[in-house]
Amino acid sequence: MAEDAVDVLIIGAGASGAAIAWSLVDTRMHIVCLEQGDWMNPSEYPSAHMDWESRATEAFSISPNRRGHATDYPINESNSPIAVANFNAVGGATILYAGHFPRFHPSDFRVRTLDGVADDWPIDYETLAPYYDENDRMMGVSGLAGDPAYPPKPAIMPPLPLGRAGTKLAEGFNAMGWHWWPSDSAIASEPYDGRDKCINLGACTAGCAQGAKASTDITYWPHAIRAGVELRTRCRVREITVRKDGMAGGAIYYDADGVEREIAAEVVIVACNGVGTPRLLLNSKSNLFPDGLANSSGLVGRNLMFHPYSAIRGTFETDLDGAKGPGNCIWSQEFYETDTSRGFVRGFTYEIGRGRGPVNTAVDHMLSGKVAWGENHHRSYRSVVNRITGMVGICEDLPEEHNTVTLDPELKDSDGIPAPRIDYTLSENSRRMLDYSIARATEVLEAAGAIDVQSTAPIPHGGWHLMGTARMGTDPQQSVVNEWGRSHDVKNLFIVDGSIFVTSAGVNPTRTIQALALYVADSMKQRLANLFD
Amino acid sequence: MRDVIASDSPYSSEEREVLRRVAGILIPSSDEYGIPGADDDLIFARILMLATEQAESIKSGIDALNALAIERHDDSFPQLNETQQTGLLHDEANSGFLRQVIRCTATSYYQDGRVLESIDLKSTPPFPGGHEIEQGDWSLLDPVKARAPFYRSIKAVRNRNV
Ligand SMILES: Cc1cc2nc3c(=O)[nH]c(=O)nc-3n(C[C@H](O)[C@H](O)[C@H](O)COP(=O)(O)OP(=O)(O)OC[C@H]3O[C@@H](n4cnc5c(N)ncnc54)[C@H](O)[C@@H]3O)c2cc1C
Repeated sequence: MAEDAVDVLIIGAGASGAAIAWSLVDTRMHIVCLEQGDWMNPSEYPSAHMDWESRATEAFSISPNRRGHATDYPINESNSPIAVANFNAVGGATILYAGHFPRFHPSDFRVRTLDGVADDWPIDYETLAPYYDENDRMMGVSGLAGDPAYPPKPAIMPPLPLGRAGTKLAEGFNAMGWHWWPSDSAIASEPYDGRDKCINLGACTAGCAQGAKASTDITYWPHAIRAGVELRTRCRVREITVRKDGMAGGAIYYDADGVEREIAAEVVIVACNGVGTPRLLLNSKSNLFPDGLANSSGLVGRNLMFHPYSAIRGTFETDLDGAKGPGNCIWSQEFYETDTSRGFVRGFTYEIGRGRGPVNTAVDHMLSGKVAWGENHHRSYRSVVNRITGMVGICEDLPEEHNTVTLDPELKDSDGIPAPRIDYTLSENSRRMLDYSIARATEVLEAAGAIDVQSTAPIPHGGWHLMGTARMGTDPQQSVVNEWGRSHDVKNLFIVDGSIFVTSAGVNPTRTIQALALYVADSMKQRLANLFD
Repeated sequence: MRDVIASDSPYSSEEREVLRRVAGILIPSSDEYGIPGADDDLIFARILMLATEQAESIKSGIDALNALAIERHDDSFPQLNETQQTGLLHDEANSGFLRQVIRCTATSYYQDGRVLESIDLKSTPPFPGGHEIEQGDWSLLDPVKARAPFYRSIKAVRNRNV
């Protein structure tokens, strides 16, 4: 028997859970969100400490396996060339995200039609456009209107500075005659909605102590809570319960003391991300749903997409920005749309970073032998530190059923809940796209004056975009949720995170994840009278 | 501080002596830049803390280095002169031991305020003061602004969704 009963239960307080909680609040329903993590304390973020680069690889590591906090769950990723990056707290992975905030393009929703691969989405860019706008206002986006790579879209705040690194690479892109534009960033370039502006701490992906980066603990959540949503932290959901009539009944979870609790709900919304959501659904086995909840298609946990990343860096002869400034700067979508003469379908975005921290520069260069140790160390180090900049290539990952999130037969979290296992292979298309992105980036870096260019692909710890594992569609045999996020099998169960993506596009996903969450919320609000029909 | 480290450290005083010597050779002090070497008290204390996690393998690396010193020069590593010590480290350059020590040494060294100031960073944490970044040359965007929209049109294509 459940101890408490609510109208709407949201599981997960990250990017999508926060957005849908805020949007549903005007229904005046009793909404509770269960989150396994804690509220963050910005004074504990690495950039408030001298040893920020060490802290960023330890307590604030992007790898849950490395962090191993009580609020984390382990992931068996031994059969994947790309490891998962996440964060489990109020704000979810937005605590650590870089805040690159591109939209999808209209063509991204029509991949099958245009390029004959993967599938089209059941919705289009026009459907999401108003929700993109709404989300932009809530998160606060810096950028510049007029990017020729996109349909017109608003810019709320001025772009982040180009700096020396952006200027240098802009020269390179211009020399090649290639597109570039200031990146849309979920980082406040001026005071916004109670948040202060970016002061160039240079440690965005370890948490923003200034509060300029739009993590949802400081954007959506304060508004949602003020309006009446109840957010319970340190509550880890083990399974979604099922009523006799086959509808979701609520959830069983463990509180901070490890005590098992149950909550009943009329509507359950899952927002645990592309790994946490399939894990939870697969853990929610019952007589009615022996293969896991909402899984009659067998697609829960399949079609995992990551975005394979290439990283290409150049060393220059003059000082650039070094460790100063947000990682976000400019992007290029010169190679975004399909051109089959390149040897692959679909495309990628370049996102130009600024520089590297002094420790990372020293360790990498000393280990590779590019910076001397011994008496020549200081001169040698000064020839690279503050002189490195470069970019990543974010390659569209196509859905493939054999890339999966399943339950590991042995690994469990600290509450004894089976942990996820990732099986992922890099496709030939991705491999070619990565190679191509490295070749073109090398050209642009050299055009900008780089004297040494280094690259890596795929970035082995770069599984920060988690998509596709409960995809949306109109056909219940080919998808897990319908075109407005409702499970085909369980009519009071909704999914709003990146798992519902049909394809991944060649851009970071969070702006689209949140626009989708707002769109699902609106679809629910419009159908309140017959939500379960 | 040394006493605290000594009592908490998994390393014996002999092992610490070797590590400190290695750190000082990897990153020596510099009069030119006015900065200490990695064998400085504060910096070395942090190196020892960082080296706790892999103490077992670093300790066997120290044993191996001492053994090599005795084999080549008939004396333990700390007793050798700098040229001999440096020569041994060059021979060990690709060993797991030296890579671990480089990692700990560089990590500790480049988080020291005195060192950071010498490379144009602050001697305090990035927050709260932050950093200045110049705007850069926005006129570079003019040719891109002049470019016609080039995103792919989906007008008139029929949806083939799942
Ligand atoms: C280092 C890094 C850099 C990134 N950079 C970018 C970027 O620049 N741009 C971009 O668009 N994206 C970026 N991302 C990705 C971005 O953070 C995610 O796309 C986004 O946060 C996903 O939102 P979500 O709601 O799907 O899941 P999350 O934000 O991951 O939230 C899921 C929440 O669910 C909780 N949860 C999971 N399981 C349970 C359970 N069983 N019970 C209770 N709670 C549970 C988790 O604790 C977590 O808080 C980055 C991510 C990382 C890690």
